[in-house]
Amino acid sequence: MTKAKRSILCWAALSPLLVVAIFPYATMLSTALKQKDEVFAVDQSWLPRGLYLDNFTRLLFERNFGQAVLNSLTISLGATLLSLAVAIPAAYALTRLSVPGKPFFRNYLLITQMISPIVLIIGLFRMFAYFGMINSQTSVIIAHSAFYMAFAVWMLQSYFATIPRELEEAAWLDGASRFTGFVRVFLPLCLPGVVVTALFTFVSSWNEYAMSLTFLRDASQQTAPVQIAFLTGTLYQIEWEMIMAATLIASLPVAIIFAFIQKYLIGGLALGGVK
Amino acid sequence: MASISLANISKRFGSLSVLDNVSIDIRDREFVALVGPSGCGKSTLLRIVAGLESISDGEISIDGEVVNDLGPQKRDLAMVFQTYALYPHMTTAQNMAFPLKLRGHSALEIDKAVGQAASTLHLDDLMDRLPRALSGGQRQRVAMGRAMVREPRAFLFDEPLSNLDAKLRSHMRLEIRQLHQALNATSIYVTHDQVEAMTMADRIVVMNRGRVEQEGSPIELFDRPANLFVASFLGSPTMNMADAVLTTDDEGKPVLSFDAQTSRIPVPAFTGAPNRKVIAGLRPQHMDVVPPDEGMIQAQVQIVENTGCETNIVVAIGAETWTVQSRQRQRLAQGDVIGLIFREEHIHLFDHGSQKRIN
Repeated sequence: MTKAKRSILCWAALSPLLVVAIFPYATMLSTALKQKDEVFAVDQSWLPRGLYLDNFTRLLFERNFGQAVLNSLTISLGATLLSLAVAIPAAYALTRLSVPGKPFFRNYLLITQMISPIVLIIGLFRMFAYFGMINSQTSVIIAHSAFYMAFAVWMLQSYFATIPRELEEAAWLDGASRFTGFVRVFLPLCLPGVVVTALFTFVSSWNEYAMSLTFLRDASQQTAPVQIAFLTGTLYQIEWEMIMAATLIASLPVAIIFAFIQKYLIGGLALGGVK
Repeated sequence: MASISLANISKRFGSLSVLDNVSIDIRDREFVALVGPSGCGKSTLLRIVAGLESISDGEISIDGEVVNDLGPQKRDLAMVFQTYALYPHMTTAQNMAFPLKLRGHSALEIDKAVGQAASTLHLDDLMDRLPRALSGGQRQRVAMGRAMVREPRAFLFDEPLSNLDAKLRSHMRLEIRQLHQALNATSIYVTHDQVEAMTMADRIVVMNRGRVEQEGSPIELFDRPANLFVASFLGSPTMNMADAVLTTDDEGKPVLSFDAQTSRIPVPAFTGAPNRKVIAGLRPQHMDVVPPDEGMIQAQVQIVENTGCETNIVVAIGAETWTVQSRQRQRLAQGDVIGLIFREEHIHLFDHGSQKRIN
């Protein structure tokens, strides 16, 4: 079989998947660029009448969606950094140090993943209320990072275990302290694993709805998923063109990040066997 | 450079004893090889010297200073790992400069030291390459270079040649030896390859099951192994062994008779108590093939291996299988009966029970 033939066959085999992946984006884009009457027209067309960007400007300026995206960014970045700051040392300790009760701790981490956040939400609300942190993004950052940390530790420790111990030992013999060896030899080698873990944490936090809705009562503090949900339910009519513009904007940062770190993602996902 | 002293070192993992009361003194500038089969504890011992493993009992001192509680960073030893352990994200030059950078040397000093080591190890053209772009032999050299640049108190080698092919291994053996002569550095070299140990070391320590079986110069160990284990571990092909009985002849002089043979071989130099069961050993190189009626013992040829310069003749002596190595081309076929002769001083006698040398 020639190379061209094989590549055509591959594309043909992949095309159903491609349609499934692209269809939601195409719908979002097409609807977001349409005017209200176009959305409900009997004769539907993929292409809008013209390049109509009013939905985006209304969304960003009138409905303050830009602020929601910014809130989401702050919370997701904060949760990712906080969860990595704890998960990296924890995963290192689990893979490299002799910690008493290690198997118990590993199982404990796994068990926390079996509890749905919604079960804990009242308890968490009361706790944050007690500390006066309701309506503060810090509360969501803490809650998100706590929930995604266990997964981050699991993912990182499976990656860390693939780094040969001798590399660190060589660094120690070369004169590096444990910390210097960790920072200058171990961490650079773990970068793909750290990036992939960061990405999963970021996306999970970015998409999270229930906790953000519960802890952030003020409209100016709300995150993008919460605002999108409000677009569907708080008005007398459902403004599909606005919802689609909002979902398109909300999915953009994630898509951009995925595109940029694709090579890490493939390398990282191929390792470890966790997710 | 430094002397290293290990006194009564024991290492236990729970109930499992990996090292049992090991004591070795390594003199300044000495090249000592630790040999033994897999799992004998030699690598653990090296890691203990490096500070990478703790000890359950005993004392390690470097230049008279006890270093039991000193981390690997502070022992000022350099180690070449079996896997080379080059930092994958650093180039050859960065790998070699790393120990000096950590010690806060100036860029000028680092360049000079790295350049010098690189030219000694013929690495000048590979300085910008990452480890993954280097061959096994080149990686090995970089690992040595990284160890060399900072002039440590001693070098530790953990089976550094075991990942190389046979030709490169013999070449690197020579290079490491030359390097040792040039640097005059105290070195501990762990290997399971007895040829490496025999050819490179000033002194060999043979280990088995966490204990030192014997230590001495390569020739001492080869000529007078202290027990059956050392006798069978050193030498290639391995020493031939057979059950025998020590008795006395009519004049009361000691004679040896192999279980499967009728002949009695006088061993006049033996001064121990006769009338006992022993294990007699003979190296394949210390026997000559003669016609059957002229031989001290008779054997039947099973296989003849021609290696070019030597002929290995595998023979059956009763139930035992021996190998005879001859420097002459032998025209022998399977089933031929031959005679074997040897000199008395080449017979190694071991007690049947304790397996210790008795002659």
